[in-house]
Amino acid sequence: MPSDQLQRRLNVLPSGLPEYVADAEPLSRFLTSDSHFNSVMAKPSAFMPRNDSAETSVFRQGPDSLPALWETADGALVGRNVRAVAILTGADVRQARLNVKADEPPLKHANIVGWPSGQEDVELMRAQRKERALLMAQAARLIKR
Amino acid sequence: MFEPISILSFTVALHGLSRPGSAVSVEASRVRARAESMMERVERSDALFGGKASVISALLNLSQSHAEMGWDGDDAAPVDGGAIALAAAFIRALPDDCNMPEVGVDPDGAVALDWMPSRRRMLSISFAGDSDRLAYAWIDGTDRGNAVAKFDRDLVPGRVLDAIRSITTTSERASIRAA
Repeated sequence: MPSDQLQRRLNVLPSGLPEYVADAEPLSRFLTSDSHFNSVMAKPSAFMPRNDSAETSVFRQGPDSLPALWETADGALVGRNVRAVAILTGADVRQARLNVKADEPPLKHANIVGWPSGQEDVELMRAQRKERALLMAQAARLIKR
Repeated sequence: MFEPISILSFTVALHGLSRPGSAVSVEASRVRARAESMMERVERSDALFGGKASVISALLNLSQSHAEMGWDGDDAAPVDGGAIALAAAFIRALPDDCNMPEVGVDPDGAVALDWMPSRRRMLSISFAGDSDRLAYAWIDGTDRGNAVAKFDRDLVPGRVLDAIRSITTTSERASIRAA
């Protein structure tokens, strides 16, 4: 295992979670727009980053306790109506040829990173991002509030 | 004595009357103008225009519900009005027997049209208002990919239409040709 990865597994964040996001770890993408999900699944738009940031915000928390999950959502998206959550794992993100990195504060926050970026052909870059977003939409489990 | 005609026959006749022709009389111009006006009302009528009107209506709703910066609770850009118009033109250009998509907005303000019949078969197309090139990606079983195609607002690119039909067909043997 690379030494930096080992170090990140050992580093503990303010949330108590290790810095390294493991493959099996659940990740929650909170959805505030009805256009980001249908009756059975999240849509690829739910995972797409903005052009400039090239990051997608998630929280390192699963559905073991839905009340706790919604509490995290309401705390993270103050004043917004969180309508659903799409849940996937670190492995799902990496199988989409992306990565997920811890980014606290806020507690348990992480970003999906590694999106194609900096290309001159913006539309081709968008198509490449969309393929990765489709893979995450395929893997994610949708829970409506 | 009047005989009933089908809605399809009526619509086809109306479309023919509304197009420019060789007739030059005042009466002919009046008929054409009336036909054009009626065609507009026909397109707005969901009962006659069917699924396309519903999707275009959904796109127009997006332009209102996603007009503000941060509509996703984060820092999403407002939906691009040009992208809405381009997506609507795409819907109008689709063959009438084509399955209709779901609509959405990407965080950068681009409009998305999604065909998602199952987790194994999905196609998504993005429309950005400042480009006539469509970005699209697909998953079809174990096959997946992405590509870009040019859209002139009148004709859906052949390989995009092939992709839509392949994803939405019920045949187990359907597959997408690589772009």
